Amino acid sequence: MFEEIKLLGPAERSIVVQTRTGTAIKNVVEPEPGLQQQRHYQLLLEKYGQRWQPRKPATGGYNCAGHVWTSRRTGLFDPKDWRIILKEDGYRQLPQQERPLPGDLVLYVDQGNEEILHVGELLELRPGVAPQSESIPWVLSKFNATSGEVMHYVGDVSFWESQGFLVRIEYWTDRP
Amino acid sequence: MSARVLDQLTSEEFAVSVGFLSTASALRRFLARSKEVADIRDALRQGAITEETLRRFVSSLLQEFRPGERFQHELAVAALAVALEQRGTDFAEEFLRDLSRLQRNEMGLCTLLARECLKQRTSLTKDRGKVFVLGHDDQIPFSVGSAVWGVCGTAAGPARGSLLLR
Amino acid sequence: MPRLDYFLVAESVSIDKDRSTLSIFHVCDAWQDRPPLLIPELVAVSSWTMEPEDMGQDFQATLKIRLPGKQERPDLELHSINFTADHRRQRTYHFVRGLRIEEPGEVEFRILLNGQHKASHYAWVIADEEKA
Repeated sequence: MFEEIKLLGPAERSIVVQTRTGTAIKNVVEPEPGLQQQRHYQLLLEKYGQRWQPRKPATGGYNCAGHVWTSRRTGLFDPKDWRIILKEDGYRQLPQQERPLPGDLVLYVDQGNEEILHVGELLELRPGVAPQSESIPWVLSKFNATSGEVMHYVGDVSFWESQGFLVRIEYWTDRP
Repeated sequence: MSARVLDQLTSEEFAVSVGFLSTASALRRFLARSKEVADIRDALRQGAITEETLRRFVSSLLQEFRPGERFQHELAVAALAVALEQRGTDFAEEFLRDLSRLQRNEMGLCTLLARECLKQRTSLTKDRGKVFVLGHDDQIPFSVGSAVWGVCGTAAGPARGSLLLR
Repeated sequence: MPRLDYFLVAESVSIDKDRSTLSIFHVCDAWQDRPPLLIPELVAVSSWTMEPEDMGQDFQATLKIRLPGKQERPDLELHSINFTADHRRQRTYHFVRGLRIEEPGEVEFRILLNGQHKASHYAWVIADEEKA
């Protein structure tokens, strides 16, 4: 099967990506989204992103992990590699009592199998609703390889629950 | 029924339901519990669609493949891969194997997903057993892995109680 | 119709749950003892490969045991194991505990699928009169 694709030959673009300790990380430089993917992204924005603030329209090249760990150069698609990067690049998970700061990472983890679904970058801590409320992390995310970049409140990501994933939010930092 | 079962894979509703899943393993888990994939499995089981139907459907989708452009029917192909994951036929094996071996940026996600499906596919064997205790009244309990066991009585008489162990 | 890969009778089996692999220990060839003898445990293992047209259909694997000589019940038919063909391979296990054999001779274990005899496994009971 897929003979017509096989005949075209391989065409997978990747670059050199390594962790700080030299472990090679598989990556793929993604093509730009087509008209249909751009339309799907628009529909998803309308459905879920009422309170999001777009930073960049639908774009290819990279996914969430690529945004965070390769400066938007390429996409990293294996969550096991994301764990390797966290370990070898010296990240630590913040305990509950420690406040995250801008530049820290926000991980959305599927509690069903402890696999990371998404990683975003914490931009700022915005004031809560009431004066005495906790501040709310404001996150920059590129949700997948064809989406745009959006800024959103950390909990304003209802789609995973609607898909049956039970998500836990973790904060990780490169700070000592 | 067969046209609807396959056409829904190329619908906007289906694409929107997939949402923002970014990794092959998360996409596979979502598709495995989706109605669209369940419909395909049921249709195959009942004979409403055949593997030849699937082959022709995929062929029609691939006619819209454009080198350098993201393949717009990647989700449909991914859904079929998950639907075929536990199907123990040569066609299913060929589909998943060939898809997993592609090296094209344009459909990278469904290629990775096919590899995930193949990993799951090693469990293509099912075990089923029964314990027959001849001429005794005692039931001897034991556990054996994940198989389903039923304890039966003597061959001469009816089963004395039933104990299912998993 | 499913294809029989193998049918064996042995003392015990072990299934690796993670790899789904089967190990079979001490295939039954012969028992040497003074009759009557009581075999505490054995297992008849059959492995079936489904053909595409078998998918979704129900099957019954039945074990029959023919005992040698004059026995109160020379032929035993044990309850069937029912399965629906939804995996490429189906393994069935008839665990038999407390098989009593009164006389020496040939024991035939027969596996049937949907009533059709597919294979036999033979073992022998050899009288060892020297045993107390």
